[in-house]
Amino acid sequence: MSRMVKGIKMVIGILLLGISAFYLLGVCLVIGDARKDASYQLSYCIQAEQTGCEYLGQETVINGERQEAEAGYGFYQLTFRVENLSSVSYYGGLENMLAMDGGYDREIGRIVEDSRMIGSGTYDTTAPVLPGKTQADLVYYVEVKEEVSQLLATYRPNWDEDPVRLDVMLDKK
Amino acid sequence: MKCFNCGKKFDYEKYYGICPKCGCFNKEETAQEQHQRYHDEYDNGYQHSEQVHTVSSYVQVRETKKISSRGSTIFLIVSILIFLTVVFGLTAFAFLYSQGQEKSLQREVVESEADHRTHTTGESFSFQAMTLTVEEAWVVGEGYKTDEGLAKGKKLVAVRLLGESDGEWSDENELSDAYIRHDGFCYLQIPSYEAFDYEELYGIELFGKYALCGARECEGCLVFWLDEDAEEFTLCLEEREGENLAFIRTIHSIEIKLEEEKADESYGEGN
Repeated sequence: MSRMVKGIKMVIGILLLGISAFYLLGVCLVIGDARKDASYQLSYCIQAEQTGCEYLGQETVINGERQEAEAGYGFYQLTFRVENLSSVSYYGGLENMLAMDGGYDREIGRIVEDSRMIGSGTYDTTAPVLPGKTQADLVYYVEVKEEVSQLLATYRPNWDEDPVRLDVMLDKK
Repeated sequence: MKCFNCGKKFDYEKYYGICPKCGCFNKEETAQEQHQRYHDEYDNGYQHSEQVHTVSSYVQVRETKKISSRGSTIFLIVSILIFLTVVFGLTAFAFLYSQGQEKSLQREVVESEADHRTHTTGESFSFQAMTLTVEEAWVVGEGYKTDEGLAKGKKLVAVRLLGESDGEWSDENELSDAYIRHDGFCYLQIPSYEAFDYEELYGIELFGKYALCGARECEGCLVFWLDEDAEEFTLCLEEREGENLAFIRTIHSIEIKLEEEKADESYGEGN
């Protein structure tokens, strides 16, 4: 009986050692291919900065259409330079790259994107992208409360990174 | 009598042979006496082993068995420990190592710089292990003129590309996605699975991503959507290098002007 138990213990032990050896081999292969596998996980890397601000007044023409701001609000044309530092294209839609929120005080009314930033619906390749090592100027028309002099914009440099805060300075001159 | 196990002297009669110190049962007669008694009682002339199993030899046998059993238990425990260490330890290590590689590669790609080179149509230039020539570009279909499933407000443009390579199947002969730059924005080429429809409809041959993998020469088209009022654009080709072509080495730009006559001619041919 005890000889059988001893045999079982030995067999289980040898099996576990065998499995460990195979596992070790597998892990070695994974580690060997880690750099190649990492290349499939590459992501875009966005960097944005504000490059322009122009006050357009309460009434203006945006994308060929006449727009009128609410009472107490005015339109600003805000320009941001965005650069993709990585080698992977950004496909997420340039109009979605920057987010601006006026908070509970409703500092921001409407946001109208430059129509060139938006594609024509069903055809993905009609919408602009930001390929690796390129940059583009994004234009947003933002309806802002008259007394507000600064806004907060956020963007994600990478799909799995936390949003970056960008202070947007408003200048009526 | 003296206990065979611990050596304590005790009164056999009083304790019925059980040692008061260690509790071990001791027999009054020695092993030899017991052996002789069995001979007296049961001897029928058959031979038997002459080995006399003294109490101490029984203890030795028991100890040996115990050690052997303990050895297999220790082996099993060590095996389990090695297994757990390998499975959990190496899994954690492999995960962390892969994460580290991802971050390291991403950082290297971000910190790398790309060259920019400008070419003209008809000019041959070196591209990875290939030689490419952008021959011409023309409009193959216009979304606002036809109802054949083309994007509204856009026209379909084909750029003819000639390529030569050593014919090997390698990353160096692979063409990454091309894009055009127009009016400050970039637009990717129409992917093959979508462009196949236009290939049949307009009789154009596509230049695939792997066109020069396994072929020494290839001629074909890259197709793009372009604003209907645009007459010129820049074709950009990313020359890449490194593991899985992760790094952009050079961006080749080719200024292209659409010729109205060619556009009309091609459009007519296609239909």
